[in-house]
Amino acid sequence: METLTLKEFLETVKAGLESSFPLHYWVTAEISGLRINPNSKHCYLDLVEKNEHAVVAKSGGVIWKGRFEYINKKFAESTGQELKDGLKVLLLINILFHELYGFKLNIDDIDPSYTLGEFALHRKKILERLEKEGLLGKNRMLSFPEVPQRIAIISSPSAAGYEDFINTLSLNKYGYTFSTRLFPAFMQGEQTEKSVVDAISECVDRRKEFDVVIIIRGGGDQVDLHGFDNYAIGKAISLCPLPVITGIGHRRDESVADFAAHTRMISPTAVAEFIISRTRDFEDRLDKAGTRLESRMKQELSAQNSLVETAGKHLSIFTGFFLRNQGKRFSETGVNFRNGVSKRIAYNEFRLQQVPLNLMRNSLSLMKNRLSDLDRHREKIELMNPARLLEKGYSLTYKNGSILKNTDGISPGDSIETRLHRGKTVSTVTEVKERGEP
Amino acid sequence: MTKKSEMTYSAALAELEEIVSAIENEDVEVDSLLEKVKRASFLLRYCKEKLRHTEAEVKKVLAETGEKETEEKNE
Repeated sequence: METLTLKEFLETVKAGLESSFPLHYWVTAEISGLRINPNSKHCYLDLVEKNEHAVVAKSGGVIWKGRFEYINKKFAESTGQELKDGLKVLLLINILFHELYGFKLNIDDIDPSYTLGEFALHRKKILERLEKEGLLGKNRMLSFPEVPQRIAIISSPSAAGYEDFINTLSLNKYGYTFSTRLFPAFMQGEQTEKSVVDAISECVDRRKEFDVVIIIRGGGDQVDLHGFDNYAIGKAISLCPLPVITGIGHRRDESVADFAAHTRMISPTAVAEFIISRTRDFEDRLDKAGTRLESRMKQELSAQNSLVETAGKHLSIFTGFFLRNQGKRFSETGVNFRNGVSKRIAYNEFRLQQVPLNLMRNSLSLMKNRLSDLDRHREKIELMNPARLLEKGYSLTYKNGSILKNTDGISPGDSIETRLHRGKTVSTVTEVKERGEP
Repeated sequence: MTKKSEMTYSAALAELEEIVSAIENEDVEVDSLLEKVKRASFLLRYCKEKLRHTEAEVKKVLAETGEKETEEKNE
């Protein structure tokens, strides 16, 4: 019987395999145990197939260095995810057999569209579950604060997006102040789920301190964007009592986190811009209310002004009346009026202090007009002061303490009293002449 | 009683807009008009300060300008 050395035998196997499987084949499998040889940079991995209970097929595979760089880059660009364990992929393979290293599958290409489909399916299942449990849309139903000024940030402090966010927010051109607090979490890798869920729960515990929770990570990173297609994260976001904004920075489909959140933005910068514009909207409404108030106050002040003018006119008519009828009491009235005027001035000054500055500017001139009106009236009254009239040579005549305006009830022999500017005289009537008598 | 430092933006804006509408639509008495204008101007300033300053700074500014009346009234 012919004997072969091991090497000779394996060479025969190799020849047989290569002639039996000369082509490349498209095969679906799950990646497991992926590692890159630090020296050669070749990528070694296991391809496995599982049923519900166990691994049912397994084979070692290799992607040569040059192909690996190309395949991994293309894959990441297309799926937002580098090759890693647990991914289901569609691979173009051929058989490799080496006398020393044994059987391996050479991976020549990977079709990302298959994995994208798997992702979509995975996401769909999670979303359906959240929907079924009544969680999806819960966060979106929360009312969003007018001014999201106190912000809880869930991110990685080293993430590029975190800095973008802080810069955009703090350099806002309106000078708004925001207070932010970082709750650090892993934004990629194995620990994403736990650390993000923990961070959300910390925000929930401290919900009174914040208006809004944002989850952000750099848009530049292309690695592992699918950590947010996660049931636990989706659930935590849905149940968060504060509105959640995501800026997880991926260009394609919305993740489960985005679906669960109140508002989804495409990047951390976009989240900051959203918060600023929201605040600006609020201030716009303030300004509009202020403008309406101001214009109403202008109307009011001019209405008041004409009221004062009218009152002033009435006052001068009345003072004439008083002067003719109540000479004695008039000086008192004058004093009262002066007091009234100064009270009015003080009141106006008080009012001026109460109106906002811009209103004050506008009302100041109106107020000045009113004050000078009042001054004018005061001058008129001064001129009509009976003391001043007596000074000019007019006199007042009384009989029995009543002022005389005509000759009615006066007979010769009556005693009358005449008040002059200085002093008074008491006289006896010798003759009474009716009007018209010489 | 809520202190004014705890007044929310939405509450402040709602009150402000209500006052403005009232002043625009109703024949408000001069004296109550002044009260309303005073309150409205306080709300405006309060919000604008709060948008741009921290809580402590806002309190300080409002205290300096002597706008304590709302507080006194509430007490």
